[in-house]
Amino acid sequence: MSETPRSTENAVTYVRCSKCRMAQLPLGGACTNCRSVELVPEYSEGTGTIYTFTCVHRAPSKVFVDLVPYFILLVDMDEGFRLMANLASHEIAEPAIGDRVRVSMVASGNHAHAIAAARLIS
Amino acid sequence: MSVNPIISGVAVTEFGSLPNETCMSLHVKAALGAIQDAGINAHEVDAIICAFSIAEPHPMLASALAEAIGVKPKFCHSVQAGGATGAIMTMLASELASTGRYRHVLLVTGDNRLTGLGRDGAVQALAGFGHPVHERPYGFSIPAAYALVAQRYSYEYRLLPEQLAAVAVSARTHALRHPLAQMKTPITIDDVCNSRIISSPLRLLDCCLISDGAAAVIVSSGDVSRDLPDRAVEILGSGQGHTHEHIVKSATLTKFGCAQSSRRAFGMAGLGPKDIDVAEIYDSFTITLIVELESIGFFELGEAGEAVLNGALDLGGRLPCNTHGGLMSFGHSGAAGGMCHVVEAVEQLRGKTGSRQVEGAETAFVHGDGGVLSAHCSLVLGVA
Repeated sequence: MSETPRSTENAVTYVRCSKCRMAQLPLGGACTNCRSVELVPEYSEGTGTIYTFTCVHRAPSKVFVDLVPYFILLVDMDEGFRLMANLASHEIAEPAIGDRVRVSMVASGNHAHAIAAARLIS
Repeated sequence: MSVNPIISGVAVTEFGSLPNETCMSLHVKAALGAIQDAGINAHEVDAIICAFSIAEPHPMLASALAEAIGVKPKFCHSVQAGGATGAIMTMLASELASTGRYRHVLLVTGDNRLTGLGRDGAVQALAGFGHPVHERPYGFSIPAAYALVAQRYSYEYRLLPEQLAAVAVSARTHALRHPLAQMKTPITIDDVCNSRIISSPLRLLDCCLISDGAAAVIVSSGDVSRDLPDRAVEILGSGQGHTHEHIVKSATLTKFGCAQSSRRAFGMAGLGPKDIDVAEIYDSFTITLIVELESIGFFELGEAGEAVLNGALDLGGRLPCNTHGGLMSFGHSGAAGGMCHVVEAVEQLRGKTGSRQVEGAETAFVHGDGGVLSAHCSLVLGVA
C-alpha cells in the first residue's frame, strides 16, 4: 500500500504529554502518568492492532437498537495509546485479536461528535 | 474478647421482583433485620453507612434511612464504589470500629432496581459507568465491557465457553439450597451455552440478575463478641486495590486490582488463599469470577475454568464459592448484591446454613469488584 499523505480531517486525535511523552486519550486535563498539564494534541496515523473485541447483540439503550449486532473494539494504536472504536458498518470480515486495523473518525447520526471506526487491513 | 472488629448482625431480604417494596422499605427491612440479628437496641447503633440507589436516587440516603428507623447516629454518610461498595462499607466500618469511638456501625444496601427501572432501564443506567466521550458513543454497556475482558482472557489463557458456563451452573446449584434466592430452577452447561447471546462471548446466563432486594450488616467493636448468641465473626483483614475506572484506560485486561486488594487483606490477616474454607466473590459475570479466582491466587492462571468444570466451587470442592448463589442466581440489586456476599460469609462461619453449609468453615474470603474490574475490596473473616 502506498504511503500517500493522509488528510487530517478524519484523523483520530489524542494527546501527548510534553513532560513524559506518554500518548493518551484526554481525560481530565492532566497527564495520567505524570500529572503534567502540558498535553499537546496530535493526529494519529490511524493504524493499530486489535487488543480485544466483542459483538454486541443487546443494545444498552434505544439509540443503539437499530445498530445491533455491532462490534466494539479496543485498539492499541501505533502511537502507543488505546482507544475504543466500532468496526466500520460496511466491514464484512470478522475481527480477531491481533488483527491490524485502520481507524478514522466518522460522523455518527446518534452523536454530536464523530466516533472512531475501524477497518481491517487485509 | 476479640481485638479485631466483629460482624455482629446480618440480614437479607427476599430477592427478585418485589413490586410492593420501595427502595426505602427494603432498606428499613434489612436494617431492622440486622439490628434484631445482632441482639441490640436500635438506639445502640451509633454509625450508619448506606450505599446508593439508581432506581430511587437520594442525595442523602443514609440520613433518610436514619430518619426512617428513628435513629440519630454520631456518624452517617453514603459510599459509592459500584459493586465494590458492600465490601468497602464493611472495611470502612471495620476501621471506624477499630478507633473505639463507634461501637455498632450499621451498613445498609438495597435497591428496587427490577421493578423500579425494569431490565432495559437498569441496563441503560449502568451503561453510565462508561466514559461519555471515549466509551458510551460506541454502544458501551457493562456486559459489553466484561465481554471485552472475556475475549482477551480467553485468548491469553485458552478459556473455553463450557468452562465459563460451569461458573453459572455452579452458582445455580448453590442458589437452589437458599430459600431467598431469586432463581429456583436448575440449569445445565448446555442451557448456558445455548442461551441468547448478549455480547460475545457472553450469553444471557453468563450475566448477573437484576433484582429488588436489600442486605444489611452490623460491624461492632471486638468487645461486643462476648454478648452474642451466635459465634462471633471477626474481620481479620481488609484491603483495596484501584487501577482504573474506564476499561479503555485499563493497561491490561488480564491483571486487575483484586491481586493487590487480596494481598493486602491476606497480609493483614496473616493468612493466604490456602487457608480459606469458603469464598464469597463478586460474580457479576462468569468471566468476573474466573479472573478474580486466578488473580487472587485461589487457582493458577488459566486453571480456574477447568477446575470449576470439575466441581471445585461446589460444596465438598476445593473452594466452595458463592454458596448463596451469588449475583448470577441469588440476585443483584446494586450494592446489596455485593453485600450479600458478606452476609453469606458470616452465615457460613456461624455454621447454621443447613443444606448449603460448608462443614467446619472457620475462615472466609469476601471480594467486591466495582466498575469493570476497576475498584476492588477484599475481606478475610474468621470465627472469633
